Formats: sequence, structure tokens, C-alpha cells
Amino acid sequence: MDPKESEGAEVALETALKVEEGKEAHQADRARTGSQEVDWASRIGGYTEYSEFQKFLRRSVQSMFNFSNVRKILSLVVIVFLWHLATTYKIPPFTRVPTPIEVWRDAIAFVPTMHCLKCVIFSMGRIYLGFMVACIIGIPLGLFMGWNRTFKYFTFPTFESLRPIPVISWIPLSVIMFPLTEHSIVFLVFLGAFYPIVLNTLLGVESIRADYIQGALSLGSKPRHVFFDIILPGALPSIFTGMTVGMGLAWVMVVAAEMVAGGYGLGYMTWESYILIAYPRIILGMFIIGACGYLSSTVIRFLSTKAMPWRSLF
Amino acid sequence: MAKAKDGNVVARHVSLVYDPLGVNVLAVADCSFEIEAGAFLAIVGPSGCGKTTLLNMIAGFDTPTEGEISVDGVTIASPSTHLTPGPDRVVVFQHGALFPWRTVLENVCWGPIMQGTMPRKEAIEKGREILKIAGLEGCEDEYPMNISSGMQRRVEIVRALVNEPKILLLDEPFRALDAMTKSVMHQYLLDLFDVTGKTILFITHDLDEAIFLADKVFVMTTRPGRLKQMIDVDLPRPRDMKTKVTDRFIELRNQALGAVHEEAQKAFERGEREMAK
Repeated sequence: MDPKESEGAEVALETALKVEEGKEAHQADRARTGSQEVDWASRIGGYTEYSEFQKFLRRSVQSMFNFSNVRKILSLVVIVFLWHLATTYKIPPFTRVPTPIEVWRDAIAFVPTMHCLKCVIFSMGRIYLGFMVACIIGIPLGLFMGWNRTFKYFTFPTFESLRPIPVISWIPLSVIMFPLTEHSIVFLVFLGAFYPIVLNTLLGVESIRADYIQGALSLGSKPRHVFFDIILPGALPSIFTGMTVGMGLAWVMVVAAEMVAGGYGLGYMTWESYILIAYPRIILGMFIIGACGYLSSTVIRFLSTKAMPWRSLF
Repeated sequence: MAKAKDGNVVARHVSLVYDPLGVNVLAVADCSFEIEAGAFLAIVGPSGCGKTTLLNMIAGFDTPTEGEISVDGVTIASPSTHLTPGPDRVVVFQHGALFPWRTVLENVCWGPIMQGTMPRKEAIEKGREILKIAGLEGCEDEYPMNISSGMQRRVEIVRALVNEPKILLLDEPFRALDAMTKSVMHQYLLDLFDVTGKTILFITHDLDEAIFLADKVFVMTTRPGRLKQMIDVDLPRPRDMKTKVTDRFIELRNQALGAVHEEAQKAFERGEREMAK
């Protein structure tokens, strides 16, 4: 054994020992606290994923509002200040708009309540369901439309003639179609997300350079390999663009549908506040919707960095 | 210098008519040539003259309207045969076609894994080994976007060679490189050619490049692409940068310059982008 090699072996041994020590210390720690929680956290496999997402969210918010750099938040401060001025001195059309302080007080009172949580959970749940269905149906549809010309000729005209119909105008029909409010809201969310997802997936497939496909064939790939190894990853950036746009429209639809069809949810809460003349809560509702929308698009961006490690978004 | 026994390409009276919009465009007209096994052929011609079309027919991406192309006596392209792109005729594309979603190593192993010629593990081992030989050690796990363009081209050539193709089809592979990287890549390709002895078809619009690299240079006319002139390059191998200043090199270059320039002028007058020198 030459000296270099034995040195390497020593280092490896040391590292291994350290790792062992770390494990022991960790176990001892656990034994001492004797807490069930530690076990649970590691047992729910998603624990590390979650904390990674937290980091991602923090980074994404920080990149938007960088408090260390005053210029980046100056415009925000100015807007709030103007809002304060306009509402305090009742400059039309702000005569009946609540001041920032009123909204803040209402937020402190409302946000920690069960009612607020329930609204968020209801809206989020509808978004999640509708959006998932839109992805499950929309992405394969878009991929096949881009992949197979016959299939495109078969489906695209129908798709394109339905697409210009504003999704909002589907509300009355969907209320008739589904006996349960819940179903019609989820359907509307699905519809909102569906169009941009399909369209962007299709464009993504069509924008893949022919070189990649020819190259893969030239290297001996079979057509089905080309579909999964070239078409799918090649279209992924566009798929995620479609998902981001679709998520925006999903929120538009969930709020609109809840305002009309009712039954909990952030849109319903906001509309209810108008009827109950609880004006600060209208603005609060808008803010919560905005925050939830931001959170869901961050989830998508996070997923996109996981799915496409070859593209660095940050 | 190990010369390959196979990789003999024969094209007989190959023509191709493009008919995308109901307007018949003759892209390649009556091209006949032979590339002997283990020879290096360069095709020079102005932009849009049908060089790439010719290469696509050999690669199996396009079907000729007339004539036939055979490799080692087997017809691979004729109006009646099906398109058969395959790992025996691997293409290196002008804009580069390394899959951006795969690491360098995964790109290099792609061919053997897809063809199922060897188990995944073995293919990866072989890929590592070949990258090492090619002097690309250390970038195996990088994505193509994160390595320099010169390295990308090298990886792509390596990715093609891993499949042990009968013939390597290079479609203006160094087009996007700067002059310095280009000259390094020329040397790299020459060394590779001397070592592997593969048959190479090299397409370019650069006459100097063609003469420097090839055994034979075909000058193509502007569209429809016909063979205008054939130059036998008898410069001794191995070649290096000094070859470019020898009298013989300049003599050969002068021989072909007139023909190439004439075609470039024609192409230019036809409103084509001017590419050839």
C-alpha cells in the first residue's frame, strides 16, 4: 500500500468514526428527551422535503423584498403611505375604503381564528383538486397533441374553439351541471387551469429542436424512448410555465366561483364581508388570497427546480 | 494507425426534391460519390446548397427522390426503403444536440443504453473510461450547459464514437466556435481520426477547414446541389498547424478557391446568405 492510499484510508476511517459518533449522539439525545415527535417527523418521509421547501420559500420572498436594500421595498412603503393618505383624507374614490391601520387591526383579530383557517383550507383544497385533475388530463393531452399529428388534428380544433370562451362564463352552466356546489367549484378551477396547461405543453413539444429527436434516433433510440426521454423533458420548461399561468387562473376561478356559489372559502369570505359591511375584511380577504396565490406559485416553482435540475432558476 | 474495414459509403445519382408547399424545390441533384472505408471526406458548398440534406439522407432522416445510397453494400436510402436512422451512422449536429437534461456522462452512455448493447452499469463504466481517454475527466456530472462550447463539441463527438459507428457524420460541427477553439478542435478531430480510423463525412462552408482535415474535398454547387469539383488532398498525415502554411496546402486551396467563390457568388446573387469564403 503506498502512503497516499493509506492516508486516504485513514481519512475515510476517521470520517466513518465521526459519522458513528454523530449517530450515537443523536440516539442519546433522543433517548434523553424521549420525545415521540422526533420519531414522527422522521417517519413522515416528507420532513426534509418540507424544510427544503421552507428554505426555498424564504429565499424567494427575500429575493422579492430584500430588506437589506431599501430601494427594493421603497415602492411598497410609498404605496401603503399613499393608501393611508387617500383613505384618511377621504379622497374619492377612496371615501369608503378602510385605512391600512384598520385592515391591520382586523388582520390581528381575524387571521388567528379557526374561521380564517377553514376558509384557507377550503379554497386551497378546491385549488388542489381542480389543479391536479387539470395537470393529470392536460399534460398528457398536450404531449400527445404535440407528438402525434393525427391526434392533434382530431382534438385541436375543438380545443381551440372552446378556449376563447371566458372560463368565468362557465359558472352558470357548471352550477346546473353539478348537483353539489363543491363539484362545480372544483370543475371551474379545473377548467381555468386546463387551457393554459394544455396549450403550453403543446407549444413546449413543438418547440423542441428537431436535432434532439434526430440525434436520439441516430443514437439508436426507439420511438417510445424518444417520447419519455426527449419529448417529456424537452417540454418540461413550458409545462411548468403552463402550470404557473394555470395556477393564477385557478385562483381567479376559485374566488369567482365561491363568490357566486358560496359555501366557505376565501372568495366567499370576501364577498360576505361586503354584504355584512365589514369593509376592512374585504381588503384582508384580498391580501390572504394574494398570499395563498403566491404560496401556490412558489410550490410550482419549487417543484420545477426539483424536476429540472439542469436549469437554475435562482 | 488502425484503419476500419467497414464504412464504405457509395452514393449513386442521388436527387432529392422538397415539396413542402406544393412547390417542387430540387435540393440535391444527381450526386454520385464514394467514400472509401476509413477515409475522411469533406463537402464544401455555399449555404443552402443541400449539403445538410445530403447528410440527412445518409443518416436516414430523409428519403432521396432518386438514386440510392449504400453502406458496405447494403442499401440504406433509396426511394423505396424506409427511413432507418441508427447508431451505425451517428450525426453530430451543427448547433449541437447534447441533451441539456442529461449530464455529460449520461449523454455519452445514451447510445449503448438505448440500444441495449450492454448493461447499464457496464455502459456507465465504459462512458467514464472513454471520457477519461478523451481528456474530459472531471466534467462527467456537469450538465452540458455548464461546460464550454468547445468541450460540448468534444463530448458530442465522443457520444457518437461510443457507439462504434461505421461512419461519423459531422454537420458543420465547429460552426459556432470562435477561431481559437476551432483550431484546437481541428487538431482534436485529426488526432481522433488517426487513432480510430473511422470513416468521416464532414460538412462545412470553410474551404481551409475542409482541405486541412480531409482526404478528399467535394465542392458543391449552389442549389440544386451538384458536385462541381473533387479535390484529392495528398497532404501527409499526421497533420498539424504547420500543414496550413505548406506550399502544397496553399496550392490545393488556390485550386479550389475559384470554384467555391464562384458558387458563393451565385448563391449571394440569388439572395442566399453568403457563407463560403
